[in-house]
Amino acid sequence: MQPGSGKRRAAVGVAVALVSVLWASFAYPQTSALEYQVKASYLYNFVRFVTWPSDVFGRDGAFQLCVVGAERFGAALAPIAGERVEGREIVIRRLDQSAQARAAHCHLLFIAEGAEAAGIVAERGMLVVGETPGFLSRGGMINLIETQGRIRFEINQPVAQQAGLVFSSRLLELSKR
Amino acid sequence: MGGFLYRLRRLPISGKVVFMMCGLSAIKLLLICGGLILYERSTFERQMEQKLTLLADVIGLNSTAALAFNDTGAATETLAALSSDDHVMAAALYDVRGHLFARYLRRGLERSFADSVPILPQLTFSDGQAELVRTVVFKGQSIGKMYILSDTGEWHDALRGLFGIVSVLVVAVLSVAALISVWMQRVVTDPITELVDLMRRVGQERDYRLRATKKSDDELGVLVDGFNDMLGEIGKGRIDIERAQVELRQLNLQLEQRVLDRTAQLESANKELEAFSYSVSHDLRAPLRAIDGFSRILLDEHSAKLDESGRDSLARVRRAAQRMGALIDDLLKLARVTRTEPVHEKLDLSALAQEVIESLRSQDSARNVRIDITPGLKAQGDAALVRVALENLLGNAWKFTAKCSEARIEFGAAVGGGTAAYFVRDNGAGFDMQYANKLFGAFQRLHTVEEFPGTGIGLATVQRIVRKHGGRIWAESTVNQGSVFYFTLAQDEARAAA
Repeated sequence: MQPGSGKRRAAVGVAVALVSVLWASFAYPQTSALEYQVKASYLYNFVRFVTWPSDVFGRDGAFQLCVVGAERFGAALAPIAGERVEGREIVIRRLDQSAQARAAHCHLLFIAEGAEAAGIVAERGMLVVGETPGFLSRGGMINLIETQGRIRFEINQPVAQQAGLVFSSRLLELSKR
Repeated sequence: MGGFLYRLRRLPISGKVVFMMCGLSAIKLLLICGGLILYERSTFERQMEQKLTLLADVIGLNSTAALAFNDTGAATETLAALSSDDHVMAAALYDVRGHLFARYLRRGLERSFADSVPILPQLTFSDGQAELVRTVVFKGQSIGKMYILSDTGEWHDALRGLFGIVSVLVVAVLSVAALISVWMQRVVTDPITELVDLMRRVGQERDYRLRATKKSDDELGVLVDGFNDMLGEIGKGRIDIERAQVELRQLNLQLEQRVLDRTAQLESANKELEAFSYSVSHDLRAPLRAIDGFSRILLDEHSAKLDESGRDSLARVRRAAQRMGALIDDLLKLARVTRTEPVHEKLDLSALAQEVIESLRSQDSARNVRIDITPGLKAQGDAALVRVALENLLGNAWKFTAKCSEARIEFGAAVGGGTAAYFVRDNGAGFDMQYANKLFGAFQRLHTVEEFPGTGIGLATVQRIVRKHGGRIWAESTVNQGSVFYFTLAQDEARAAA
C-alpha cells in the first residue's frame, strides 16, 4: 500500500460507508438488499481478519474476490471493488459456477444460496464462504447465517487450515459459539 | 510570635541548641517530603496516562472484530474485562462514525454515556477523575474510538502511603535528631555550664585560686583561658591588697603603741611638773607669809622708829608679798584644775552665772552694771570647775568694764565663729585681735597691772577647764568697744543649747 493521506482518507470514507450500511441493516434486517449490503461488508472484513499465504498472489498483487450467483448482491459489492487491504487491491469477479474458481485464481469465493456445487474442493489459498445451512459440512469454511434478525457466521477452521488460511483469533471469537 | 521568641530567648543554651537542630531537621524533612510528593504526583500522572493508554489500546485492539462485525455483545464482553481494575469507572466504544457502540460501568455505578465520542485530545484530570479517548486502529485504519474513565484513587492510596511513610520518618528522624542533639549539644554547652558554675563558685567563695578546665581549642577554649588569666590577675591583686592591709594594720598598731607610750611619758612628765609646781607654790607661801607678817609687825609696832621713807618701803614690801601670795593662789588653783578629773552632772548655767554676778556685786557694790543673763541654759559638767571658769570670765568682764559709764555684761548662747557656743559679752576695754593667740597663755597680760589688776593666770585656767570638758574657747573683740568670749563644754550640748 502506497502511503498517502489521500488514499487513507478514501479508505476511511469507504469504511464509514460500509458501517453506515451495516447500521442500516441493523435497523431493517428483513430487507434483502440491506442484508446483502451487510454481507458485502462481512466479506470485506473477512479479507481483513484472515491471513492468506503470501505466495498465492499474482504479480499484480490483486485480491480476487469471486462471487457465484452475484445477482443477489446487486450494487452492494461496488464499494468494496478497488478497496485495498494490506496493499492489495480488491478485484470483484463474478463467476457462473464455482468450478471456475480455480482457473480464476480466486482468493475468496462466495457461493450464494442455490449456487453451491455438489462438492467443494478445498483449494490452497482460497477462502470459501457460503450462506446456506449445512454449507460447512459440505466443505465450506465460513457460513453466513441469520439468527434473531442478525447476521452471524460460523467457521470450519480445520478445513481453512488445510487451505493454508489463518483466521484471526478475534474472528474466531466472534464466530457462532 | 513575639511570645514564642521571648520564650526561645529565655531557654538555656542547651535548649536552644537542641531546638535549633530539631527544627532544622524538621524543616529539611518537610522540604524533602514536599519535593517527594510533587515528584510522586508528576510520576503518578505519567503512570496514569501510560496505564489508561495501554488499557484503551488493548481493549480497543481486542474489540476490532466486534466493531468490524457489529457485534455489540462481544465488544461489551471485552470491555467487561476492565472490571479487574478497581479504578476504572467506565469505558465505552464508539464506532467509526462516533456513535456509542458498547459500554462498561463499574459495579454499583450509575452513569449515562454520551451518544457521540467526547472530544478529549489527551488525558484529562477533573474532580478526582481521569478520562482518555483513544482511536482504535486496525491494519492502519481507524475503526472506532475507545473512551476510558478512571478514578484517581490510586493517587490517594499512594498519597496515603506516602503520608504514612513521611509521618513515621518525621517521628523517627526527629527522635534521632533530638537524641543526637541532646548528646552533641553537650560538646558546646558543657564547657559553658562548667564556666558558669565556676563563676558562681568564685563569686560565692571568693576563692580566686579556682581554675576552669580547658577541653577544646575553639573559642570556648580561648574563653576558658581568658577566664583563668582574669582569675589569676584578680587573685594576684587581692594578695597584694591583703598584704598591704596587713602592713597597714601593723603600722597602725605600732603607731598606736607609740602614741600610748608618748602619752604615758607626757603624762608622767606633766604629773612631775605639776607636783613640782604645786610643792613649789605651797612651799613658797610659808616664807611669804613670814615676810608679810613680820613686815606688818614692823609697821604696827615699830613704825615710830621708822621714818616716812622706811614705812613706805615696808608698805611696798607688804604689797609685793600680797601680790605674790595672790599669784601663788592662782597658780595652785590652776594646778588643782589640771589635776582634778571633772565629774559630769547636770548644771544650770544661768543660775551659776547669776550666783557669780551676785558675789561680784557684793564685793563692789558701788558699780552700776547692767546684767543680762539668758535664763534656762543647761549643761553637763563639773559644777566646781565650771564655776571657776564663769568666775574668771564674768570677773574679767566686770573688771574690764570698770572704766565704762554704762557697763553691760551678757551671758547666753549663740553661734560664734560658725559654732554654737555659750558666750560672755561685755562692752569694756576689749583687746587688739592681733594678740588673740596670747590670751589664754599663763602669765600673758594685754594690759598693765596699773590699768587693770590681775595675775594673767585666769584665762589659762578657764581654757584648761573648758578643755577638760572636751570643749573649746575663743574670743572676738574690738579695742574700747568690748569683747565676747565663746566657749563650749561638749560639742553636742553646746549645739543643743544653741
